[in-house]
Amino acid sequence: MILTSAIEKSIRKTTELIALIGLSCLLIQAVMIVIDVLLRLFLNSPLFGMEDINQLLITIILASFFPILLIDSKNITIDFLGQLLGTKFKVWLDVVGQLFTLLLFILVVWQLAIFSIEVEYQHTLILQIPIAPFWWLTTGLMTLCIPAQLIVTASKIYQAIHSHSGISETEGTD
Amino acid sequence: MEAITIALLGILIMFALIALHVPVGVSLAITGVGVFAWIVGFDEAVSLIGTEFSATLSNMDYSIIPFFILLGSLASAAGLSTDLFRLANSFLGHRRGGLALATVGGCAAFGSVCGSSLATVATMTRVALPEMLKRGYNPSLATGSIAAGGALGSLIPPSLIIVLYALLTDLDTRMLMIAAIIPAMLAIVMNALTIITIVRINPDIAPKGERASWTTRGQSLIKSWQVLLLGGVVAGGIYGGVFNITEAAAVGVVIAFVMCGMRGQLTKSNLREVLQETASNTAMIYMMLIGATILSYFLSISHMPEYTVTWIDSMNLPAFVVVLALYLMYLILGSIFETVAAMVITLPFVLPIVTGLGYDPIWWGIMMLSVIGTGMNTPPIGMNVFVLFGMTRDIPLKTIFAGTLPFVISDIIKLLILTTVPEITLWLPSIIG
Repeated sequence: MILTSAIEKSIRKTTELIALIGLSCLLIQAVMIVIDVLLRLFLNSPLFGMEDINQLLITIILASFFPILLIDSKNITIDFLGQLLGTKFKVWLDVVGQLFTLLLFILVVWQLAIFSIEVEYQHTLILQIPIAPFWWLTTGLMTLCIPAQLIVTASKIYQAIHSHSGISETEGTD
Repeated sequence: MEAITIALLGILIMFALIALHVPVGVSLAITGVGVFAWIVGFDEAVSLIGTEFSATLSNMDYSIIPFFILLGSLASAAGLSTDLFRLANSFLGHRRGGLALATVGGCAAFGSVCGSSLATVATMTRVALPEMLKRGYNPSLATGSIAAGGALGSLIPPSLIIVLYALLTDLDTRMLMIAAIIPAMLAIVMNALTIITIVRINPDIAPKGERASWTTRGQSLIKSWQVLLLGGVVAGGIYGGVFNITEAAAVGVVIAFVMCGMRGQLTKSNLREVLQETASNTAMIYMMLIGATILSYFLSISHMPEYTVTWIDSMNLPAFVVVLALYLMYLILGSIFETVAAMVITLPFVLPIVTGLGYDPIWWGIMMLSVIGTGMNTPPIGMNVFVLFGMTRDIPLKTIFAGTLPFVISDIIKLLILTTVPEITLWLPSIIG
């Protein structure tokens, strides 16, 4: 568990750092939009190619937010059934939820990689910036979701087994 | 197997996955892909994940979501809610029940900046609840007024949930926000009337406070200039047509960030909180949006919405009865699910039914958000109540639910008014649009 905990710590730190960079980019993007609005309102001359930059930037920003969502397990989950059935079942239901999430993100990364290959020769409309490098970066950031989710899933499985054995031990003692 | 049978099975699988603790967004996406694969083919279904993720992430219209979430987080970190509460308190605090009225006013004003019910409840619980309890307010009224005020957060424009509804239905966001103005004002008035009625019946539960002098009121007003400026620029910009909604949110973010800095609130711990809140909430909402879009593909190829509309038509029920049945469904869903989840899961089926009955989708959006907001204060799992309970463990859950009950009743009356007279909602968009 010491190794798992060390890995978890390093993945968590990486996801936080990536999200922080993403958030900083979001703030920069907000400032750019304000400058664009002011230039448009007062000088009738908006920033050239802002749409292109915004579109590329927002994709990367959003991709940087997904790993922290997964490592913090902040997805909305309805644990009504788990509460109804008790802790013993709840922990295993949590494992089911995490496994499905892992499956989806493996599919997402796989499909985003294919998408990045498909857009290899495409450029933005106004500034003619090649978009493939941005999509590879997006895919790379989303790839971090897999180890993040693996850690969460492993931890839930450990908790489930541990709680199960805990219950058995208690029952045995009784 | 017929497509409609597969679709019905798909819906059952989706609810089964949600019940099995699979996150809502993931459940929608997995069901959508699974059933699409069954009807069309595996390769096409899997490629849907790539196309939907890439299209949604790069869609600039959706970028309003992270901006609004960041705006709300920064406004919270800057302590703008405290200013709003103090301002409302200086004008209303001397009346019996005045602090509860100030809470509703503070919630409404803060909701207009932050756009989230749960965030509004969490913030106002920290700001207003200790003050009300210190003044000898009954815990039931104190918590009930916060929960009721929090429910206003999703209705008071500019609201994130209204933006999401507009994005999911391809409606004009500005029109929806304009349509929400009168129902939101009605909701504030109804909440205020509820408080006034409660304290008339039982004056001891809300003692009078000292009347603030005009100097104090003026000082509170001056202290609140920042939040008034923020609200004025964001709302004024949108309604005045100076900038679009995304630009308004970006302008709001920059102003809130500067205010945070001016107040010395850009501390490491605040920034960490803002980061986690913005990143996690943004990704969580995107996950649900993407899931809902993938789900809507299988629904449309199975023609399920059309089948449902035909089925309801065949029952020859009056449209009003169908709408009331939908309200009941949302009241139940709102008490179990978070607003975004309740809306995202049901919208693909419900919107065709409502528009099929001849109702305006703008009107329906406002009604749906109102009823889900009411559900958030309704037992057994009203989310607002649970946020309150989580933050104030000393007050029993039963007491909080008892406190929300009069507001739930007043909400139902408001719903009936807005349902029987849809013009209340549609009048402003018709003259401004």
